[in-house]
Amino acid sequence: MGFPISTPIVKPVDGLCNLSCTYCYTAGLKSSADKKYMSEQTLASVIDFFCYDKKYTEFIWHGGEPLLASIGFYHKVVEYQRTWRNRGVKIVNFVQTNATLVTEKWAQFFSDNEFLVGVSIDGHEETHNCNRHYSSNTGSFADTMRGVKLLREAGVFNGAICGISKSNVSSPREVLDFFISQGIKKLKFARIKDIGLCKDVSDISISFAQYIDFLISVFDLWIEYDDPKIEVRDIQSVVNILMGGTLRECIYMGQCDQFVTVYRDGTIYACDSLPKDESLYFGNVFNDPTKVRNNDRLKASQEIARVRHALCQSCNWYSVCKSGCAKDHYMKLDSSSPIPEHCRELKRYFKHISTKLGHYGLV
Amino acid sequence: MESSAQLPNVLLSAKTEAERQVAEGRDSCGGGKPGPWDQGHWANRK
Repeated sequence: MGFPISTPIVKPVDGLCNLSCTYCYTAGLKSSADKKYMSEQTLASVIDFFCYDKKYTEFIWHGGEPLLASIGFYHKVVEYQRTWRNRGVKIVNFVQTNATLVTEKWAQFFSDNEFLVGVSIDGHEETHNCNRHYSSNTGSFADTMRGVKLLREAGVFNGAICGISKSNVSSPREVLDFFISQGIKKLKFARIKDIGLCKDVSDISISFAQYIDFLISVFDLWIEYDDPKIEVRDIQSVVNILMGGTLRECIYMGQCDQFVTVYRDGTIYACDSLPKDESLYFGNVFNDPTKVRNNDRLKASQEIARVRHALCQSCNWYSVCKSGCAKDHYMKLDSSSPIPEHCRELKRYFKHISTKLGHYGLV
Repeated sequence: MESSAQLPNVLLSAKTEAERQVAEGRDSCGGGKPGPWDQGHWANRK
């Protein structure tokens, strides 16, 4: 497990994006982006801040649409990181993109510099285009899949994140079959919900119970299809944990202060799944990293996590759940007890998987 | 209870991975990401 404020989710263009997805949770950042990108000075400080005291570090380039920062920006990323690589720091770069802007040049750059690229795809064309489209409402599926093809040919495609909404929650087999038919077998599913920064998503958002129904169905399909190359992130993690392994998805790690969001101006906040709230502002990349990692707001959030753990430890599923995700399972940022419905549904999910593993004598 | 001889490949694979992690004494560092796909454990297997 990484130490606090050690893995940055970097938004070089904040929420700026060439798409206008229905459920975008960075919509609130978009209007403030002014189409300005992270300055070279700030970028250099970002790299230094997260490399200086590490032997291994990861950068997650995110957005909005991170490719809007231009390929020249990422050449600078590589250039500044080279200083630290030459000092023995192992650095891995991940990008999460809508892939619509991917060209052969981008794909070659990613390959040459060993970036791993994840793409957001919401299933087959009709479902994907329902919510993932340009501001003209033209769907992005064709452009996304063209980009995926180029990334795969370059050997840098690293899986898909698929939003689960009312459009596809009732069709788990159809969703899974689509990805398998495309040869995309590394998957993460994300529940579409309102996290406070979205446009109105009430027409498409789903309940946590519906999402758990979906995951349980996908787990059953995963067993049915019996293809070890199919990796569904959440399911992989729960299965691994129940078998005594250590492959914890971040939502089951019990702490999330390892991950922080770094905005265009170099400010550092908690994981961007949480609201960009003052209580979660930890400093900026021009500050002394030691002081940032010991700031009072971080300590306050760690104390909240500690209280949550204490309340959850008597639960039979605590060893799996570790008190759950701060963004998903608590009503407010400082709530001590999880939302009862979420607890109930998570237990149902874990029990379903555990029961199946028990049939094979695995737990 | 179904016997281990009938264990689905996906569970055999998962079991092997979990046992390897325990044997190596691996920490869960980098085990999860809030957004993009993970690295390390899975990416290194490609």
